[in-house]
This record gives sequence, C-alpha cells and structure tokens, in this order.
Amino acid sequence: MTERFFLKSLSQKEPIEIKIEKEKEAYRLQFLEKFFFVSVNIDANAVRGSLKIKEKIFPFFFLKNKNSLQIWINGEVYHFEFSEKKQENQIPLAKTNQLEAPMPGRILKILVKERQPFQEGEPLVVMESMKMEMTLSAPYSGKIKKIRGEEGKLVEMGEVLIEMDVENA
Amino acid sequence: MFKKVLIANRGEIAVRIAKTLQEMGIKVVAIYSNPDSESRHLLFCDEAYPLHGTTPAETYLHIEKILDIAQKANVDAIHPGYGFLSENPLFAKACQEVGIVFIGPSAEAIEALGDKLEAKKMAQKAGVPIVPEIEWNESLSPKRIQEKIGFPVLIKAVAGGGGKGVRLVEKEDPLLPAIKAAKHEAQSAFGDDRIFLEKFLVKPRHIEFQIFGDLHGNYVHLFERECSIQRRYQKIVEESPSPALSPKLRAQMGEAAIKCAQSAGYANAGTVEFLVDQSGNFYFLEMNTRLQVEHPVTEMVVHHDLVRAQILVAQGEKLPFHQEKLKQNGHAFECRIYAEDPMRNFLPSIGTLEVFEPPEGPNIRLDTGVAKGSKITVDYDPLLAKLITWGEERSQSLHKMLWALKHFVVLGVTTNISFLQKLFLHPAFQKGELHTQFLSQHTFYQKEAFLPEPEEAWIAAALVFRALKTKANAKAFTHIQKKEDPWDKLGAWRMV
Repeated sequence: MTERFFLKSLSQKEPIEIKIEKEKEAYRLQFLEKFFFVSVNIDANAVRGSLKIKEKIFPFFFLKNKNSLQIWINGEVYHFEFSEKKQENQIPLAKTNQLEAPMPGRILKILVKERQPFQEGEPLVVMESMKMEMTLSAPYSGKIKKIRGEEGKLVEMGEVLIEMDVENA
Repeated sequence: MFKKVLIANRGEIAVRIAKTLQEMGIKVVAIYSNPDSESRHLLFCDEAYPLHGTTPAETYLHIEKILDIAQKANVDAIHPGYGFLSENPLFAKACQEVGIVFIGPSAEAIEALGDKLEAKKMAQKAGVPIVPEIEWNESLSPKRIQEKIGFPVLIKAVAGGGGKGVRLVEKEDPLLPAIKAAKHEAQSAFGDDRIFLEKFLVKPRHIEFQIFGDLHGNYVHLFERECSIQRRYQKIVEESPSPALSPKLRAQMGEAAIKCAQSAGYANAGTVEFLVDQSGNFYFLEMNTRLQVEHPVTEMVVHHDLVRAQILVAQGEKLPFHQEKLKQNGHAFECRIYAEDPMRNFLPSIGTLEVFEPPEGPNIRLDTGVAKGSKITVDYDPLLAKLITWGEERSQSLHKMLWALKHFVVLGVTTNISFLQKLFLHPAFQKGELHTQFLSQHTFYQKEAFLPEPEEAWIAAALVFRALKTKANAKAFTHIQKKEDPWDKLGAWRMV
C-alpha cells in the first residue's frame, strides 16, 4: 500500500508530494520525480536514527513539534512541514500532456488503453529500475491519447510513455 | 595552600575552574541564581549556595551576598572567572578586607588598567606603541598630519563618545573641510569643539598576548592568540599561533606585553590586546585583568593549565613556568558555539536543548556549561560551548575543527555551527587573511535564499513523519527502542 503525504521545506515553499511504499525490510520513496530505496532505523525516544541509501549510511537526529520537524543530518539542520493534503491555495503543477519515464528502466505494465479516460492519481504505468518497482500515476484527470511505450521495453529517463489530454482543457 | 575556593561565576567557566580545583584537591563552592538552580556548574562542586535572585545585579554581581556565602562556607579564596565581578576593583578590595584571597591581580592594578585612557598612558610610558593620535590645533596642517600619523585618519571629538562626530578622511585634501565640519558638530553635540585625529588602521588584526606575573616579580608571556574574527565587537573564533606573526614580531610583541604588565605591577593572569596593521606595526589597545574566554587555545599550545597557575600564584608561589622553557606546540583553534542566528544578524535564540551531542575525538576539547535538556534563556550570554581543536599545523587543526563542527548536533535552539563551518571553508579564512572587519567584508553567511535540502534530509524527514504520524506508531517505537540502541545495530537493518 502506498502512503502519500506532503512536505514543505525552507527552500521548497510549495508542498512536495511524498510517496512511501513498504517493501520487506525497506522502503521505496518517491518525490520530486526521483525514486529511492532505503532502510531506516528510528529511535523515537532518543530522537535519532540512521538511514541507509544504497551503501551510504546517514545518522540523523530530529525534533518534531506537531507538523514541523527539524532534522540534523550530515552536519546541518533542516526544517520541514508536514501535511496530509496539498494546500488549496497552491499553484497547480504544469499540466504537460505527456507522461515521461522518471528514470531509466523497464516498462513492466501499461494499465490503460488509448482513448481511455482516467482520474487523477490513477495508476497508469508500472516500471522497474534497479530492482525497484514503481507505479506512475496520473498527475491529473484526463483521457489517454496515444500509448508510446511497450511492455517489457527498456526506456531512457525522460522518454515519453503516454500522450494524454487534460480533462476539460 | 587553599583548602576551599568559591567560584563567583556560572556556566562553562565555572565548570572549567571547578575541574582544576578538584583535581588539585581543593573543595569547590558554587553559587547560583534562581534560573541556575539546575545548571550544570552545580554538578561540579562540593557545596552549592543559592543567591536568591534572578537578575545579575541581585546575584552574580552582588558583592555582599557573595562574600557572606564565602565566609559562611569558610573559603580561603574566590575565583571570579570572567565577566561579572572579575574586573571590579571594589570586589577585589572587599575580598582582601575580609581576609579572602581574590584569585587575580590586585585591586589597584584592576583599577588602573580598567581606565582605558590611563592604560594607554601607562603603555606609552613603558615604551609600548599606541595607535598614533594628535589633538588638532590651528598650527597643524594636512602635511604635518601626514608626517606625524599618516592618512587615513579618523577625526574624533575630545568630549565625544558613541561614534558622534567621527569622520574618516582618506587623504590630505579633504582634511580641512572635514575638520571644520567635525568641530561644528562637536560644538553642537558636546558643547566642546576640540577634536583629535587618530590613525585609521585598515583591516587590522586583533592579536593579544597572554601574560602571567607572580608576587615575586617574575613575568612571562605565553605567546599570542589571534582573535580577528568578531561580530558586534565580540570574538567568535580564536587561534594560536597567529598566522601573521614572524618570530621576530612575536618576540617584540611578547616583550612589549611583559613591559605593560611590569609597569602596572601586575600579578596573576592577564591579557594585553594589540591591533596589528597590514605592515606589521602593532599598537596597544587595552589590557584585560582576568582569565580570558579564549584561554584554552593557549593551554592547548603551551601545554599548561592556566587556572592551575592562577591558583598557585594566588597562593604566593612562584610562576610554574619559565620563559625560556615555554614553546608554542602545534596550532589550536577555538570556536564559540552560540545560541544565535547568523542569518538574522546574530540574534540570540532561546529554547530547550532537546538534542545536545558534542563531537568527540583526539585533540578535541569541549568546555561547556550546558547539557541535553538545559534551557537557554534570555538571562545570560547565549554561549553554549567552546569547541577547541589542536593539530600539528594550522591546516590540520582547521580540518579537525571542520570535522568537529560537522559532528556537533544541537536541536532546540538555532546555533552558529553551520555559519562556523562556512567560515572555516572560506578561502580567505583558510589562507589566514584575517582582520577585524572580516565578517563585514565577507558576507557569505547572509544569503537570503535557502540552499536546497539534500535528498537524505527529505528522506529522513519523510520517514520520521511517517513513523510518528500515529500515536500507535510512536508507542511501538518506544516499546522497541527501550531495549536496544540503534547504533549498536547498524549492521542489521530493521523495519520500523
């Protein structure tokens, strides 16, 4: 099951969507069109933990106060704000009419057909990269125009997988 | 021999003094204000007495209260630390009157050196240069000024203060009109149009010499500390040796520092402060009649405990060191870790130290008066700790400091740790091109825009939020984590 929420930071005033999926002993994270496969240890009492991203280990400390969080990691302190939902008065994401591969990898499944309507958040394509599986979801509601990708095919980062139309656009 | 000593101070310096007293077998008496009733310095004493009050005036500055406690506790001596009563001649005198030794110079020496004009006259008499200055009169000319003190000059009002009427004149031509304007301004501001001209030092360094005298007429200097990195006239980084001194200049300045101490009949630890211009001329600034905040850099380099020497001298013993045997070994840096926000003009930051994990390692020293859980309030100076590093050479000591800063974790208040890291990475700092206006010239720390957070910060933040989102999750953590320390388990990555 994918968990979603939003984080804001000092440099990133607009909420960023974070998707987390649990897989066995680790997590798959997705944000800002990037994917990570990480392990983590958290000691809520000692307010510290450690993170393992590939072979790199990062000790960290944190201080949480309701929805705001200070994280010390790698010698610096960073501030984050949490929210379950995207705030209403935010600027909408640019609605391109192409779904691109966020990373190089293999297309495992295409879950939609041409001319099929879809809702925002609906899974469209499943990809695999570095043994990580990830689902590409619809950034908005609309209708599929043309499928460019092919199941089982290797694609480069940024390669167009689907052309689509924004609903009511 | 002292059996019991009262420390008339608080915070890191009280802790630091207590450690030496205890190791010398001397009992330690601590005093504390109401906000300090749980402070860390009380954990390093043998007896603690309340001062019953909150403000400095009714506590650490209250001579009668402190002497009452000293007599009640039957102490032999009082160590004043720095700040508070350390440079108050009345306190030194009052101690003497009740037969308690004041660990420091005599009341007379404190009084004489505390008057900055008197101190300058004394330095001049001892043949130590001061910043050249001359009172203006109509017989002078811009050419004479150039000959006598040299441009640029500052025009200051004799009766002045607070920067009123101060003008900077770069060369001969504009001098006369500037003097006319300054006299006019001085007359209207102070009712006195007398002015004087002082040589303006461009990008001077602040270099001070640690001196020591005993009651038998012996004097030594323990070399220099460079303290050019300042903000709001307060030092934040100190080092020894100074990257600017040649052996010859060092010897000259050391000699001048000793002359200052001798002519004041000074005993115990003191510091002679100089400004050094870019051509290597040095000028007496003032003399501090106390143990300095930055004394650890000297201790690291000369391998002597200055507090121990202070106590021995106060007991009437001879100096525990000889000039010819003193040597500067390697290089030491000190960073003052403050609860303050460098991006907001170094405004103090208050709060509770929810996380306080200082770095540890070879040749890393930490002097602190706080710990995890300490409350940082508006009552006192926001100095959290002094972080000191030592290395064989400057660059080694510098990189050790960078490592130590990078591994110093403080959450709960904003600190200058990130700022200090940027400072130690700055090319001009690394080259030792220091001067007292360094932080006005290099404003690398004032950037408005926040740098993007690294990916690992986003990931850690996301996973912490996810883990603590629900009470049930948080509870589960508590349950698991009581058993084990995650640091012992770095190999076994566990689901949480």
